[in-house]
Amino acid sequence: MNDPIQIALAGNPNSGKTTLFNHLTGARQHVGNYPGVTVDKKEGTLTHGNCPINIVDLPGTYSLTAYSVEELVARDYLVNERPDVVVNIVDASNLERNLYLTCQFLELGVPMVIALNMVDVAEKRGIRINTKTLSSLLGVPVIPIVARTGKGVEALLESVESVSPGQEHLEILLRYGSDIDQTLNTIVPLIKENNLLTDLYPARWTGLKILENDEQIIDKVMLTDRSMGQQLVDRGEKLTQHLQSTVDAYPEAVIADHRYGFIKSILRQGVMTLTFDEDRLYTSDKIDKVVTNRVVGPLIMAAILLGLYSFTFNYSTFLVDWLDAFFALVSEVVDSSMSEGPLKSMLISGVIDGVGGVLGFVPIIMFMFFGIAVLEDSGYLARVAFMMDRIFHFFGLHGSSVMPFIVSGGIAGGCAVPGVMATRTLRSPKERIATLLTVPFMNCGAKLPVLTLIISAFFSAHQARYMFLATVAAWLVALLAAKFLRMTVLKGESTPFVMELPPYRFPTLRGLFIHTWERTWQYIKKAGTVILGISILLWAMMTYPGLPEDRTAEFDTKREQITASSSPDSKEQLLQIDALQAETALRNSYAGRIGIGLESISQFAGFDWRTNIALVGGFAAKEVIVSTLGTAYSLGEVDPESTTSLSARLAKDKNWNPVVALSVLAFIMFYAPCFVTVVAIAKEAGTWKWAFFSMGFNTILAFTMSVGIFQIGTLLGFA
Amino acid sequence: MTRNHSDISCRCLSGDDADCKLRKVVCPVDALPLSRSCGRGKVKVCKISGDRRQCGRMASLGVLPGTKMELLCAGNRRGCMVKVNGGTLSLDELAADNIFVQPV
Repeated sequence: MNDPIQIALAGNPNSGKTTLFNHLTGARQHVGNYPGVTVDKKEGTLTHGNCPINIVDLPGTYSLTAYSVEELVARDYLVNERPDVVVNIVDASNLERNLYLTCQFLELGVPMVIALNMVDVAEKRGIRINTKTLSSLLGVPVIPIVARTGKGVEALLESVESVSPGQEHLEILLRYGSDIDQTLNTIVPLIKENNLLTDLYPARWTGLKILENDEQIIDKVMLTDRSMGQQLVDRGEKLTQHLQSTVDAYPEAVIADHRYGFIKSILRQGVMTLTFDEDRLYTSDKIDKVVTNRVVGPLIMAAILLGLYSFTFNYSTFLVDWLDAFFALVSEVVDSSMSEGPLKSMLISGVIDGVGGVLGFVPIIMFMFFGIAVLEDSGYLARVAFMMDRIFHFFGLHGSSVMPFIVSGGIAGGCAVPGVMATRTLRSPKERIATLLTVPFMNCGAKLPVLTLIISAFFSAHQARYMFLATVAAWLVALLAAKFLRMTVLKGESTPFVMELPPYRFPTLRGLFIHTWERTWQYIKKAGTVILGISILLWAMMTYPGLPEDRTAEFDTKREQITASSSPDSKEQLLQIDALQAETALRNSYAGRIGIGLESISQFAGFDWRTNIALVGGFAAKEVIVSTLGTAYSLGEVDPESTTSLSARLAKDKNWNPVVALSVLAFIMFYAPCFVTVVAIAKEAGTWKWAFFSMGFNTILAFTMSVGIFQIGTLLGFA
Repeated sequence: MTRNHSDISCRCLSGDDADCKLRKVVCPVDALPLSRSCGRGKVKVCKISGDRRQCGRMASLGVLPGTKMELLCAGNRRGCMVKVNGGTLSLDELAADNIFVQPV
């Protein structure tokens, strides 16, 4: 077999790179109809005929001058790793803007094949592209494809094989006007003579980047030869001053202008023909005029959210009930078929009540994910970002912060880890840190079962309404926290926000099911692995060391006394003794001691020691709160007839009431992010300082809110 | 091996392809920032101000002096949505404040 060909998929954001990557590799990387879904490179493999191919899916970028972290990831890979072939995914329905990046690849001289994606969409829009002419004018193969269906992908792979290693490639030279060309003619020989990055880039390309004020390239040049680097930067500065005084523009604007001029001239040579009027508004534009309207837009957004929650809770209830009944049955079977002992206790209290409690929410999760997939695939989420942008600016965040918020669970059901990673699209460090620290306030998929559990226990009549309120509260607290951070530790100017909006698309049923299943499966997998492990660990912590022998003997003596007295209510008295013994054992356990130790503080917020155990466990993963509550309340439950659900147990517990429920809800929504998110924050922020800050800041904020809710609620007599 | 395209690169901050001479695009008196161009429909960019990185970012998106665009969701001291170069861009107030346009 031959050596594998290394190919990189590169192109503008939302041009279909990940869709093609998934099609080629059979992977299930997340795709969405909005820019910036991929923020890190993804790797996969395939074999075409006898030829092994390694594929890297890169984050989208508009330009090889990197403006944000994820654009740097793409550029660094292309330049440093030097793939054998770059497959440039070009959106055929938006050819002009997409060819801007192509133009820069040509200047860089990378071996390239153009995958002209979404030709079907372009045709529907009346855009016809002559790929042969385009190919001959650009000097690279152009293959029309539809990545969603796989049409043309075979031809693309054949073309990739034909381009690969050892071939000579064209390095296109564009003209940028006399001022820039003259400067380039002066600096390029200097770059060559002094071998400045010539092992990495063509000298002319390095020269262009210096003139475009590319900070990363300038830094590299300076590191190689400071004095020569300074000379080149000075030449660039001189050119900038000249262009500013003559045409009131920076060199990069003039360079971009000429690149677009080059693209226009290519397109006019019979490459693109429009069947319809060029100025015609497409259906997407017409929808946007209504959906993003200043007055109607927010109302539509609120209605969609409420509709999503109503859909989720109204239609998933029967499945939740079935699952509850199923786990109760399993519990009964285990109870009746096994003899008493630690194994039985672990299976019932640790595994079934713990993991079963989390799995019981799968239908709700699945319905919610399906709704979110519809919004995501249709392109509506990008409009939400547009509408929320103004509000975000008011609170010191950025328009690019909206998508990380949504990914983290802005509509309930996301995950803070990809949300934290999605902040890579922000280029201002302070806005990025503020976003990093506040995205964990969103109601992620792990918090969803906890919220659902408490809402169904105490506010069952209006579940959708309470979930909507929880969503609004999450956004409000996150934004207020961001404002506070931006006014104190993260003071700084706001930066402008520009985002390309994808056209609306009809989601395919296949796509929706895949997206829904992918996320649901992640949830199930987590419940069956991480949550199972933590549940068993917490069960052990809640079971051992057990009661000392003298205490056990005391309870045994009491039982004997009751049995000997032959009292008519002896059965009830025995049950009470059993309950008291179970509670005493739980209190005496390692976890119980932690819970009781924290009670001296947590009592101000209304949390009892059992809730404290669950909240401490929740730091490992938020789902654990449900499983731990399940275990804690089943260990205390001794009625053999009882197969009641956890929400029913909470509702009848003397330490719980609607005020405590609200206080616990607030704490769970806003306290320290789970461990994985904390690690992600440290990684993205580049320091553990902000990770520790998020744990401390969030927990103090959450506890303050809970104390406020509990104390005011109690004072007003709602408790 | 190189291929010189100097003969077909021709568009000089004016949108006028016939004239290759670099020249300044002067903003007329009725030019307004995009953020205050409520209800203007089709407009032409005459100037982009703001910091250098932002100007570079806009340039890479094809928003340059001389570029024609259509306001889809008109800005009135707020962000706006424009159709440009076949795509749709959303700009917040800060970005829209720096793009000066004139009616076409």
